[in-house]
Amino acid sequence: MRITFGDERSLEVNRPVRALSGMLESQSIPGLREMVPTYASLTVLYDPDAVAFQELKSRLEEMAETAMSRKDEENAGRLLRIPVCYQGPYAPDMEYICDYTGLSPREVISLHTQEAYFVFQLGFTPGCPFIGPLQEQLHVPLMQSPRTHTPKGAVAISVGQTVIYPRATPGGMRIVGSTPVQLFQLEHSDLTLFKPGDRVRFAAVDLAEYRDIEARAVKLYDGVEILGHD
Amino acid sequence: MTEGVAFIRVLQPGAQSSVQDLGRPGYQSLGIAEAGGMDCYSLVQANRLLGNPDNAAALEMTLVGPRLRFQRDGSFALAGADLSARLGGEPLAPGRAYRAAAGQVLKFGPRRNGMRAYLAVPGGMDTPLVLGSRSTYIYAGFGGPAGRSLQKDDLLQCLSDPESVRATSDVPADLLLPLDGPRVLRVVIGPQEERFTSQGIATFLSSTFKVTTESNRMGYRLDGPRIEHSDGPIVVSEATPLGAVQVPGQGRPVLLLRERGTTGGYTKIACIISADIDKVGQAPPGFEISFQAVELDQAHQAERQRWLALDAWLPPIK
Repeated sequence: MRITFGDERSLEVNRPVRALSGMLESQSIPGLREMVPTYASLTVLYDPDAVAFQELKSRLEEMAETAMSRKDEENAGRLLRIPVCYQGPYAPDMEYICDYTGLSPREVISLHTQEAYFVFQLGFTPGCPFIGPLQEQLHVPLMQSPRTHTPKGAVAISVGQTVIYPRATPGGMRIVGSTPVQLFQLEHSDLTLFKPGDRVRFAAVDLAEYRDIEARAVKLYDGVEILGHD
Repeated sequence: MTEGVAFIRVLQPGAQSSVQDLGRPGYQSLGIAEAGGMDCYSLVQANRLLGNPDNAAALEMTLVGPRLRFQRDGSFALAGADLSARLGGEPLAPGRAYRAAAGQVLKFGPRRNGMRAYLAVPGGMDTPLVLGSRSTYIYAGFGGPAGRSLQKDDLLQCLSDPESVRATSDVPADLLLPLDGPRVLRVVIGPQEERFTSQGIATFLSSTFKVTTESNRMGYRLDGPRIEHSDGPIVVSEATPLGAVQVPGQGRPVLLLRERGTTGGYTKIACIISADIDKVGQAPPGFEISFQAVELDQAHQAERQRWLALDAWLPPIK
């Protein structure tokens, strides 16, 4: 069952998604198996033998009303500082991004590191964050035909969002830089570096710093600064 | 948990043989798909034949089966596809438990029916539990032996003494995987049905599609007539449930399966009902698939019924 609050990637639409997901986490609803919060909707997996669809539907509708009327403050999540190298082989699409947007590499980096973004959802592959909203100036289209190999740690942008690839996979977004930190670790109790609702600030590092962090970033959170609330 | 007993050595791994149980629920919000058997109904049959719990880990073997040598005497069970299994030259049928002697080799040959065969061992395969499941999540690289499908010389252990298994009756014929042929998959329409023209919905429900070679544990790409969108194929990225039928820009359906990306930004015309999802895993490239719309309560009813039918043969072990 899916509860939708809008059809855009914005903090306003996402706020009730998080509020409802928080409310459901704090209550135990029989038959509720799993929740997947995303940009504009919350998907709920349930056991139809434990709770009837109509019953769950009316209950969730009621809670969604409450979630929408809540005015939670924006900065509830953690703020994580993520090092990104925007140079050379780590930024294979920088030239395309500059051509498309008319910005210089310096301006692209300045915009991308300027504000604390928001983690809207995890998806695609284990630990892969969807981060935004991205400034209008940085909106670039997806590739016509996706790469068959996007390297691990690639920080990629497309219309309105930034994604970081936790492992090498195919991908169609434009690679603006790369981070040496780990995004997913089975042995860590958190499993993933990011949680929906976290805030992220990217920090530009040069090639030497990148390699230095890469050499010691073996565990989740290595090389990541948790700044707390901004 | 008991110490595993070395039972089977892998002589040849086959096309894609992996350890699977009923999957790894609970982590989709972190981008972790549930993985698990592509045909859980057959996997459970294999387990029940040995008196295993339904969720015990079994071997899923795809199209080209492996070559396996038994390290000691013991029981095993087969279910699902018929890949011409032979034990020491003797042909074996799916839906039955067998007994192997130490040193005997289990081989597979040409595909005769279905696509994925399941091999259960006493107590289930003893690979490490990862987030509560032994399923191999092949495309993410964890679960199973070392986070991958089988390789030559892997040694598979089972959780119970291989000789300590009670005999059960064979799986009744009407519960076995049906013989090859066109498959009708029941779907619940939505959630983005309004993003298709009425012609588009009609094309989806009245046409026959073909499974392409771009089909794996993540998803199946189908070929067939173009399904017409009314307003483009892009939606704001949202959760992609098991069985979602996604229609990207080229208008052909993509079935999202056990190892799919947990979120996606293409329009979804329908979702395959739980009771029919296992049929997909048994349809090899070239097979014909069509879709039939049902209501949600019919979907729930069908799922209940198929497990009740299995319980009538042999109830689950608690």
